[in-house]
Amino acid sequence: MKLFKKEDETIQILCFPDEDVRKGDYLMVEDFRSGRSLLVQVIDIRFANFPGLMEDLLRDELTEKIVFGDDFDPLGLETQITLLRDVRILLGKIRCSIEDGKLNMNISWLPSRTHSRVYKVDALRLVELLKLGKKRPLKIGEMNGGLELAIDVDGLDGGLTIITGRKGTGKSHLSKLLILGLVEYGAPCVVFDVNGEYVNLGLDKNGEKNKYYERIVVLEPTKNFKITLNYAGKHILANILTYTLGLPQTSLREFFRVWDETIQTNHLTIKKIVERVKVSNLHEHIKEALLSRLYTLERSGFFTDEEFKLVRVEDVLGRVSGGGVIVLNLSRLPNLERKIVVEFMLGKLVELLKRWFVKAIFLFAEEAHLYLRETYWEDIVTRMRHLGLFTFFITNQPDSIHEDIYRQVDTFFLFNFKNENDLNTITKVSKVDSESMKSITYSLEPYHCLAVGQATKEIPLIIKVKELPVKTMGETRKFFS
Amino acid sequence: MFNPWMDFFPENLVNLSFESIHGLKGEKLEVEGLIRSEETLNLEGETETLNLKTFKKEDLEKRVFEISPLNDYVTVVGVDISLRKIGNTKNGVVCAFRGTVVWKDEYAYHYTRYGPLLYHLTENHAKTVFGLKFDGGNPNHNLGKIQFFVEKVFQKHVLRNLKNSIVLFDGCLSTQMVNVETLNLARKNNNRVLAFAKKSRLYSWSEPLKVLREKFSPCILCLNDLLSESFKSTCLGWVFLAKLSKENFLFRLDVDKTLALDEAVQTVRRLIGNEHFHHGYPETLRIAHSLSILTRVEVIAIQRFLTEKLGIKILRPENHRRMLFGPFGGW
Repeated sequence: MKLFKKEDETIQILCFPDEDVRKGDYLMVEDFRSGRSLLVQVIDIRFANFPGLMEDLLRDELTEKIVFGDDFDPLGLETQITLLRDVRILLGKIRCSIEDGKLNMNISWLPSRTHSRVYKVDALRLVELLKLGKKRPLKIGEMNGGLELAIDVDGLDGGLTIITGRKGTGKSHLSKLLILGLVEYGAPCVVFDVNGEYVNLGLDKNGEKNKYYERIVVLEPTKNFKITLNYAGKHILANILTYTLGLPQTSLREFFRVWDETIQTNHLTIKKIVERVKVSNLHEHIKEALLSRLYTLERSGFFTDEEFKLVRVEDVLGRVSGGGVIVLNLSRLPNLERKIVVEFMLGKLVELLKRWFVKAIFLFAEEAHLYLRETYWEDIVTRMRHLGLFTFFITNQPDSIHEDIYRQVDTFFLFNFKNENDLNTITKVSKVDSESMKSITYSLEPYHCLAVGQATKEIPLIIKVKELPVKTMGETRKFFS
Repeated sequence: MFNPWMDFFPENLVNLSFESIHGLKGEKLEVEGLIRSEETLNLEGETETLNLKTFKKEDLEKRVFEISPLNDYVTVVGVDISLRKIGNTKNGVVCAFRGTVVWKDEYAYHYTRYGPLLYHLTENHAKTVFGLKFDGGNPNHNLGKIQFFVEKVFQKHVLRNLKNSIVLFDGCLSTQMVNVETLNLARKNNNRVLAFAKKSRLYSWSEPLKVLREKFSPCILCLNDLLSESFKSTCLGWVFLAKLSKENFLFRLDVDKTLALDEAVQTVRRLIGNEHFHHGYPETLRIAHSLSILTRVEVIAIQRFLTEKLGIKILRPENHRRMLFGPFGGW
């Protein structure tokens, strides 16, 4: 391989077809004289354009269909000609510089064309250079060449992670792998499971209990997960009424007045509040607004007036505080009820984090746009993160995640996308240049992802996600099987 | 039909290739900085300008006769070679040769292609193998001599292996380009030899010859008695101006002169009855040219072969114009 061109952080390398280099592979451009090297990731492979190549190919095309014959080539030059036609240009992006065996970000120098050697960096050497998986390794898959790759769980700590890609490319698979990895290190996780596909994490492939079984708590709102008004509290309920049920501020003020009156005289239930609203001297419109929202809450089945049916989030968190998962199964809930449950859950988790009931929680939110209110997006990347709620967004609709979230992301796992609009959306991630993202993402195979961020020491890596030892399928109903 | 196997290929061409490039090991080869798309050889006699005796246009028109195709089947064979300079060594020049024979049967076109064969031509080689004397000053001139030599050997090889065919050469039937023995050999095997020249220029009264342009059907004009004696003495063929398709492309067409004029015309008629013409040029020759030409990619591949297999160091010549005048030095 020969260094051919450098423009900004893009490098072009001339490569013969007998050298096995693929998109995503790393190359080292080693300058003998300066003793420095550049670590370059291949983002595209193109044919080298030689003078006269067109006439050469054109001749083949013109003659091969109408003329048949033999070549007598005693010197075997035809193989050289064939080889030359397939000479490639590797388009690479400089990721970092290496000096005295240490990585640094000084990529402002230019290696010599004459005194440089270009060679492929094998996965093992790359992992050693990046010092990946040294502290708390989490095996998530393998790299090109079959080397098992472990990232440091610390890289996922305190940050925001996005897992995105087309349907069926392996996003949920990876998120399950990360959840179980975090559980192994004693981290409490909460999953907003819209498709009911995390409920079997405690079972192995044969459907038998696995080692995680006791650490997985599946909460089914309206069934084994109900709350009382008193437990929800005034603040959370106000958020539900305002953001989920769209109650105007004037009506909310009246609701608080009724709430305060009810709590002084009676045990707080939806029925008691309804009765008090009915007899109170309120404007008819406000009365109507409050009653309709209260009936909605009552009908949702998530609220109960019976204290013994109450499931306290802190109790459940207590069960997983040494490492475990609370799977909030939202798959059977209608849209509005799903939003009510999520609003409550997020409110309660923040409340518990504020009280230092738990140190931190890893929240996995699948298709969050289906249940997360507008104002929460910003909240999640700013306030909640500082309180200890570290979110993983998993989606196959990248445009459903706000642009701000992409800019703030700490670790990004990107699976295959083909659609130009999707590719344009993901390029807003500031971790890596848009050209690399588009080019690599477009050609990723299923269960292969491009990982970049804190977890990979900011160096983009292509990873083949490993197989999970647990029952991964959700409960999707199928006609033919 | 044509027996393509190597047993019939002139051994001296192959042996010379192996021997001469073997002696190149570890040498330095100075190549041109810019590889041009076609051969850069400016061969002597390649572009000919024929000034016809002063004939009036009306008189010339009377000599034009239209020809109709004869459809009795005969095999048409096209022969072309390509010789390209790869670079200079301290003792000589390295060049690549490729020759192609294309023939058309009732169903399709077929070809046999020989090469590329590489030659390191030194003065010694020229004398001992080719029996030629090198001109010390101009390597391209020497290369021209080699091209004619190789071409003649190749023509002989082809005609030795053919019978009852019309054989088309690229160029003209001059003593420089064809041997008399080759034509004799052709006749012995009942072959008819014709040559199409693309670069000849025909003038009458200092103006390009325009007669035939108005004609719609295939027609020819015999020029032999209009040519100078000096020209005729080096020419081994009947010289025609030929328009063999509807398009207004005219070519100089030479037909073996030992055939009677009638027979020469019959051969041209048989050719148009058995061959496709694209812009007045026979398809077999066009294919033969396409297949034998050494493209720029192939030249680079040959340079790589020499570097890899023989450890030859490729040097680029210093370009003084470029060094002195930069972008104004004619890149």
